[in-house]
Amino acid sequence: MGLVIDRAALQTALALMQGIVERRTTVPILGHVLLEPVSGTLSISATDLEVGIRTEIVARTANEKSITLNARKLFEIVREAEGDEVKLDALDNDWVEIKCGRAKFKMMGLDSRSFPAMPSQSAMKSEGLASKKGVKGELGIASTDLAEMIDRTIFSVSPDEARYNLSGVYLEAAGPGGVRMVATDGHRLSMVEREAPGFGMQGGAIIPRKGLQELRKVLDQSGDQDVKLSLDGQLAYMKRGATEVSMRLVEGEFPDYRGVIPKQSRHAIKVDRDALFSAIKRASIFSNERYHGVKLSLASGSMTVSSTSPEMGEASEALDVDFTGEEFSIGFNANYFREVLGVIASGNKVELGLTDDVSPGVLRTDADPKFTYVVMPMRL
Amino acid sequence: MASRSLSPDADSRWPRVIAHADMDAFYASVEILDNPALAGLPVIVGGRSARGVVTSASYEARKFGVRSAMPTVQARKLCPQGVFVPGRMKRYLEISRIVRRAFDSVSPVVEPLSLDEAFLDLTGTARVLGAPIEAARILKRRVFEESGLVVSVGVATTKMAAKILSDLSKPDGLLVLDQSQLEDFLAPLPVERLWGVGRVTLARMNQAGIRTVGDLARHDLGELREAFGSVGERFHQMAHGIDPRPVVADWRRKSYGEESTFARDLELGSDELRRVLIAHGEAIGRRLRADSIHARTVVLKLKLARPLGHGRYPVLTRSVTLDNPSDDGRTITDAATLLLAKVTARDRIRLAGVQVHNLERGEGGRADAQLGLFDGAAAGEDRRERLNRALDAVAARFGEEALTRGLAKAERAAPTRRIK
Repeated sequence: MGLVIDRAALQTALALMQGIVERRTTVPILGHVLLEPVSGTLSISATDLEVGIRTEIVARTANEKSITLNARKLFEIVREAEGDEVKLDALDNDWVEIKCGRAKFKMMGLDSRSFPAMPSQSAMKSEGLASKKGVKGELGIASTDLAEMIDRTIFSVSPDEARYNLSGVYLEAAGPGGVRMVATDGHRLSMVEREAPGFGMQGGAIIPRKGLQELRKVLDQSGDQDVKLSLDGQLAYMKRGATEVSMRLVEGEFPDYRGVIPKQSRHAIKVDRDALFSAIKRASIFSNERYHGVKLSLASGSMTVSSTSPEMGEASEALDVDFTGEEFSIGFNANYFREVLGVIASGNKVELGLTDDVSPGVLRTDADPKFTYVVMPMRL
Repeated sequence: MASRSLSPDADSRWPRVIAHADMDAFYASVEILDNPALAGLPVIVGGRSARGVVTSASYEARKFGVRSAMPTVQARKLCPQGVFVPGRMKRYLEISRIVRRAFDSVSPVVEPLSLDEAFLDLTGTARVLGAPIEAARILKRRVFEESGLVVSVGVATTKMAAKILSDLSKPDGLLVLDQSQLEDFLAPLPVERLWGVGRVTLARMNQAGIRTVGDLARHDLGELREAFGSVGERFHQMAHGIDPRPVVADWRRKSYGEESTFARDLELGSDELRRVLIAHGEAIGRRLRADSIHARTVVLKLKLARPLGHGRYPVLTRSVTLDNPSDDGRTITDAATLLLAKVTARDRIRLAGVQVHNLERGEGGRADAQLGLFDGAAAGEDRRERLNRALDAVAARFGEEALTRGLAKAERAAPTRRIK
């Protein structure tokens, strides 16, 4: 009787849920996954009300009784268990017995009828939240392209939840047949474009960081296929194989990012990504723990990356670059460079566009000509 | 290592090692440094107008009774053969920075009090610099090697004692006193040498039969508390050589200020007064930028031309807190001008000054040192920053007076300018 599931498949599915259920503990059911057996398949879902994820795996089902279980505990059990199969039996009063190998667990679930609905049009309508305004578009794109776009923008999203309009990645059409994603925390900005034949959309959507992270995990799960991301009113939705992700879009207006991308810079400094990355990592050993400042000093033929800590010491490293003109120095938060260089593959070149020590720097790379990174300097 | 270690009781004799370094006749010495022909002559630096005061006098001039802050007119009477020099603040600032570097090379904790004196915390430097007296010798030597000027140094376990020692040691002196000698040393000193004992307190102490620090130390603590409140306890402790005030590194200095006494008293609403404030605001902005400091509070100080006797005049101060910490002269000037507009006084103004308080390290300035992409006023502020930078560069090259904003012209109206 009950439910018999392949352990590996269940573990993979539960792993996908962990990011969503992780944080909230005040509402117990949001820490649970919903398990719904339907003749031969088990549907597993989790939601934090903003983002929802649902996947289906093959299972031997004896009945169609839904259960909920604490997502973390169930994941730990399945991960630590032995044997190829996991057996779940619903007992009375929402208790569930779990058997794998020779181990047996009893866990208390919650009433599955109280499990919240995934973010969806109908759910939002029932809350009176659905409105006619908002975007409408369907983005068909290679999953590797979408993954790259997310990787090159998501790190620039503001961690400050109060700046809600910066708390996600802005997505809009880039001319006919193209898509653009932009993220900024107010200090630096990432922008990347890709081809997306047939994509068009009025206005743009701010996709929440967390939802995008979950979506990114789903993209990782299987090979290079095209995926379809639907944007509809205040929702974004993607289905990939047996897995669906849905999320509420961030309400608010994304700032006018075009105005802050310099049209041109006075100096264009070409440097190996690896050399710059290493030099910045080394220099930041002595940069201030709070501000992470490093100094780039440009002189004829060289760029010196340095940092000073009054308490600890100082570091500097000179890189050979093709620079001519009047010497100057500019300060940056080292993390803003580490993060962007971290998403550019080793072996590539980057070009640093600098004007003076108070103007934004621009980083581009031959690894991705459609990627632009703008970073504001720090006062030294 | 063993040869460097201090004697076993070093810790009790030197719970802290605090040096007070004070340049000897700083401005006058700089003049002699730049013009060696003046060596050995009574050199007097000061304003030349009727109201000018002596800002510095060489030891040769001091023999004639010439002192700092003395009206130049009086100095001329005392020392007619004196070489009177108008003073070059830019050059003094330049040398001051060199001296400061010498201080910094000896201790990481340096608290400048003005252009020519500072406290240095030498606690824990024994291994590198040796015993306190050796450290002080190194300090004197470094200053001389770097700047060509002589500094007097006092070393003690408290700031107050260090300062008194450097003063007593001048010129070219060095006095060192450990904790065990401190109270005996202080006892015979007149009580007004203690910090915070001003004219009024002194009169009341004298009434109570307290004339020396020793008298104060022996005085009943309860009576002191009754007479002076909580400060009474502080005085008592100080008299016993207890003064826990730490040396506070540079960036935590409390304020920057500039003020000038006018050649003739100015009207409250006069353009000249506004010009002076602009000059001071811009100068403070330049210094803040040079030190990577931002200030949150701007203070306007006015001395009214209404004599109260004993050379004293009523002083008005008004302050305002800025929305964002600033190092911009224009912002500081605007705030000071706004404060000025709110002052109502019938008297003319004898002295005007601008100060900034609530300082933040540059990196912490304007909320943070990280410039923003979208800051509302960012575009404007960036332009201002660029302008300030350009102005700083010109000032550094051609002198502060080479380029000043429209109205600013402090020197014309203000012969004596004090920088704090």
